[in-house]
Amino acid sequence: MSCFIRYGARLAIAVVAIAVTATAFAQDTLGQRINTLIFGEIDYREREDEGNDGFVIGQGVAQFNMRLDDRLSVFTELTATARKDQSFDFSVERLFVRYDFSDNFKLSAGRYHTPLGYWNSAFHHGSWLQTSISRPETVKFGSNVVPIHFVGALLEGNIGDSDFGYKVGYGNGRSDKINAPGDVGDSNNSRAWMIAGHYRPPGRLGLHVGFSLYVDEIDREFEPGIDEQLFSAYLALEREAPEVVVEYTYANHESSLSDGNVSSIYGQVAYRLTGNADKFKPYLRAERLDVDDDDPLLGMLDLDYEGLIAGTRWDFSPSAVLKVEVRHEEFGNTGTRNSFWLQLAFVFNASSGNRLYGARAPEYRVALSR
Amino acid sequence: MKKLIMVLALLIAAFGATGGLAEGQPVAIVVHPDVQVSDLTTSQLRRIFLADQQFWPDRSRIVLLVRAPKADDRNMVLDRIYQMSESEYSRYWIAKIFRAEIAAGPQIVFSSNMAQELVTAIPGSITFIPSSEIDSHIKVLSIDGLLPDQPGYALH
Repeated sequence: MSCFIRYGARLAIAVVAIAVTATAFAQDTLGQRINTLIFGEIDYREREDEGNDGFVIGQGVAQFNMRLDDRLSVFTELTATARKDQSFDFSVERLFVRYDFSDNFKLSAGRYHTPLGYWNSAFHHGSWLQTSISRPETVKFGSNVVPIHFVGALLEGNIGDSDFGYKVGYGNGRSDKINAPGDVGDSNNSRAWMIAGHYRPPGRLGLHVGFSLYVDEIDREFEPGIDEQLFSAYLALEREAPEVVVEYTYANHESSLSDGNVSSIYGQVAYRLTGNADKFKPYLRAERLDVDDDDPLLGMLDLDYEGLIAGTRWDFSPSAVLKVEVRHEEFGNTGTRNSFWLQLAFVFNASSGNRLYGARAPEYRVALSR
Repeated sequence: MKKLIMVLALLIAAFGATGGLAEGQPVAIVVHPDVQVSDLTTSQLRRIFLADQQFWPDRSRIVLLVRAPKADDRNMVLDRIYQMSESEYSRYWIAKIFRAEIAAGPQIVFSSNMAQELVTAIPGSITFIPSSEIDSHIKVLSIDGLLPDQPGYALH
């Protein structure tokens, strides 16, 4: 327990110190602005046939979105994650510089959440943002199925004045460790590329549909030259009554020795209750992940999965939530397992005194003094 | 009699401070005087307030000013333009910043006066104000070709 308190305090102090320092620095620099978001979580879990249950300090996340001028911005995301050996893993999750030529052309370079599918971009480290406690198995942290991060360049924007948008990326692809990107160069000198498109019209349902295609070549120690093609399509209703996410992912891996496929689908439905119960949002998610045994990249890893989760989130504060979740899951050939989870998650907008709907008007003083 | 007048004055002041909007009174969309736009479609208006469109046609950046919660004109804009509840609106902007689609959320203004001062001072800015509170020098946009005092205007 003392370890829990000690490391929790260190994490909190580190994250707040970084945020406050960065915000103060930005406020001293006229014409430049920084928006700081902090996400954090504390979990409790009870799992059948598993050790290490009890309280878990979840991931602490600090994001700094710095606007250097009207068109140039820098986005940084740092995380601190508790490890089993009682230490913390600090990492740079995202770091990129973007220049906005217009609404149609925004060019950036750096390290991203791979804009592949829906969940990986929409929620990623923001536990407070996502309705459920857990991420779908296909896009969980450290997933081998989908490259969670991408290092390279990205061109994105709207298509004309329509509600359609696009993304085109070119980068290093997976590294020797297949669930990590090539942060210091492309390990096999074969770049990955991706394209994505989406349609997101304004409206009460918050409709968002899209697709993405990702192509790479991966070298494994005993099997070089594995071609990878990943395709993902999704449909989301992003408002809360109802909230729906359905995402399908298909991957093909081909080498000189074998080829195989991976397919995954999940569907999640949630509904914000009304009246006196409007702080509660029950949810349900079903997921299935199938990996061919012959798949040259993933076939040996026994990644098959089936899961059904149900839970409720209670937004007891505008910036904090308590979630309760039960899971019935089957991992590979290990049999089914039930578990119970609790999560306390929060978000803090350090730029605006935690006013979630936007920053205060820093231009007010400057503009009126002109 | 004096007490009655004082009470009425206080009520009127309080009503004004919370951004009261008389029934049927339209909300006007106003912009910085240098913005080279005089009319928007409802669809364009939504895209701008949702920050899906972040630049004016002359490629200057749009600065979005939004009233703080509780104001009636804000409630109308949330209902008609954003089509969101207050909690959906909060979550929308956090998600938008988290996804790095924008560098910062809308700027908050706390009164119609503040909105008018800022919209005339900040280049590229756009906001909304009850039409009865607009000063004569403010640039008002028509929506789908209609001004706030015309029948069929979208933000009645």
